[in-house]
Amino acid sequence: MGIESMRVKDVQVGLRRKEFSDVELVKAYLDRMKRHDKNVKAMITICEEEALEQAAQVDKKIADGKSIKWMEGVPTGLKDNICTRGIRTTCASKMLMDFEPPYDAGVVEKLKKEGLVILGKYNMDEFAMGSSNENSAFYPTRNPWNLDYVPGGSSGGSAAGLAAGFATVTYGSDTGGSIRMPASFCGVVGVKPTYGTVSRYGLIAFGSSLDQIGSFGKNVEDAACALKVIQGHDPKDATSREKGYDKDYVSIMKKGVKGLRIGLPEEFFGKGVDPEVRNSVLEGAKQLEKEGAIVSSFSLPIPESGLSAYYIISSAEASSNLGRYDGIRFGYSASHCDDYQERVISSRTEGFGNEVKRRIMLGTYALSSGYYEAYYNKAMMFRRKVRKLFQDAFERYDAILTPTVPVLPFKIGEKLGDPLSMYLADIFTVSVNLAGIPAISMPSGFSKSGLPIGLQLMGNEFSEETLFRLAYALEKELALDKKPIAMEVV
Amino acid sequence: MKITRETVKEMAALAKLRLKEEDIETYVKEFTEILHHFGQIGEEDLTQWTDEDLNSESVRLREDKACFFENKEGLYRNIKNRQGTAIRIPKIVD
Repeated sequence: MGIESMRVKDVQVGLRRKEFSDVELVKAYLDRMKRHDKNVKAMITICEEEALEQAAQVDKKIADGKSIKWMEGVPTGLKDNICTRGIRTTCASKMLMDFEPPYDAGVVEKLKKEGLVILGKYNMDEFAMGSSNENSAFYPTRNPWNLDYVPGGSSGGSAAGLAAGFATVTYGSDTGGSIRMPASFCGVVGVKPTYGTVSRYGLIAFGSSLDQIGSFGKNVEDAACALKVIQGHDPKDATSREKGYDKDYVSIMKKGVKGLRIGLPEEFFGKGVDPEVRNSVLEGAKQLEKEGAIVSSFSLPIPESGLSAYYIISSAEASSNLGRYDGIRFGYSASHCDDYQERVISSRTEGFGNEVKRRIMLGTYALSSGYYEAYYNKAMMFRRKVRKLFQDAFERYDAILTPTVPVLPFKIGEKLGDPLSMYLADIFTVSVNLAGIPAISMPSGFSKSGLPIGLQLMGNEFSEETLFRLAYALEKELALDKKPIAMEVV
Repeated sequence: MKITRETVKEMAALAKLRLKEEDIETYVKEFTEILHHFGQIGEEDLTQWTDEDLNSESVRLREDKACFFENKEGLYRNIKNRQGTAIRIPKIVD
């Protein structure tokens, strides 16, 4: 088996049976990255030395006859907005091009403690603002299924890198769909967990009330294993939840779906949804029904205003969070300026890219005197309404099934000149972040042109295990797990 | 909602950003379109919710306790213009 097809289970078994060493495995991934990333451009930093050193420690433990931890030795990678001590963390921005965090993020501490091997840092939209990965200050990542297409964003590098076979599992962050959207476009599984179940300590902030780190896997089981490793309370994150989510996802997901109630919200299947996407997702619903789930339609009138509320709130929070980049303490500094104010303005003007500037200005506007009531306050009230509508829906349904993205993956450059059209691609994912609930995107099929299509399962808070049950059953039924993986077509 | 060149300039000034003259017109067009779309949220019936609802969520704050941060050298490494343990900045007061 080639490493591009390896699942977590294959790594776990192979290491324990000594079919290969962890150093051999890591070297094979590094070699694959070096050969193929010139096409995909998923990587910003490759941590070769550190990864080989870590893998050698795993091998030594095995050679010494010591037991290794559950996920120890599994090669992974992180979106480049997750702080890694001494390894540059750029957020794909000129502003942080040479930033070396002095500490590890909470999830990195957990990954290191559990012995996963970090192979590198993935490309992304600058400061996680974007839906195509074209907003990276370095280069756009390409979709491994067709290099002329975007991989989705903002965690596009994490999704494309996984689809391209550069790691066994990867991690990203999701503020309004930034894990689920690229998972859908790249034909992998992406999980946005319940807000507060994964530490945000050391995740470079975009919209703090919405940001959440989550996992990517080539199948549902891998994504669940990767999530389980990083979930848990962190006292360094004031929004971290202490309990309610320590679940054995892998055994629970195999329980079947008989009797689970699934709602199909009419507003997520109407105008603006590509017919190929709609048909693929509805076919998924049929398969779940065949497996014993109870499927029915209902009304959930949130996509349009949810999108507005999301962009108002996230931009407002971004305008505040990104106020820290002043060219003085860390990050890009316009050192040619002799005046203090001039240095701050020039550093921000030269250090931030166009989309980041656009969001900061929109956020500043939404919070400014005279407009606060009309925009920010209204958006916050609508957020309340979204939560209530979801609460009501989850009294009747165990999960809600929708397309992840209304459209098929688009070509590089296709939407760049039209920011509103780009924002509309997030219309089905943002409400999950407004409500703080979990959601999974998983492959449901392929378009006639051979591009992946994804469906989204949303659940009530702390219902990740139900979503994994449904996703696992559907994955088995669709048998997409057996399809050739992306790099075979590159 | 019509956004003017002056509004865009004011937004940039508040955000501590400098815009090129030729970019202002582009932002006027984009912001007019985006804010028109966002403004549709005003048509939602939100009478059920009040400002008090928005402030009712409890915010948990961790204890305000000083902690020792061991990697001081790592912290200083990112300062572009450093003098010992201080940051050199342009003169603020004449």
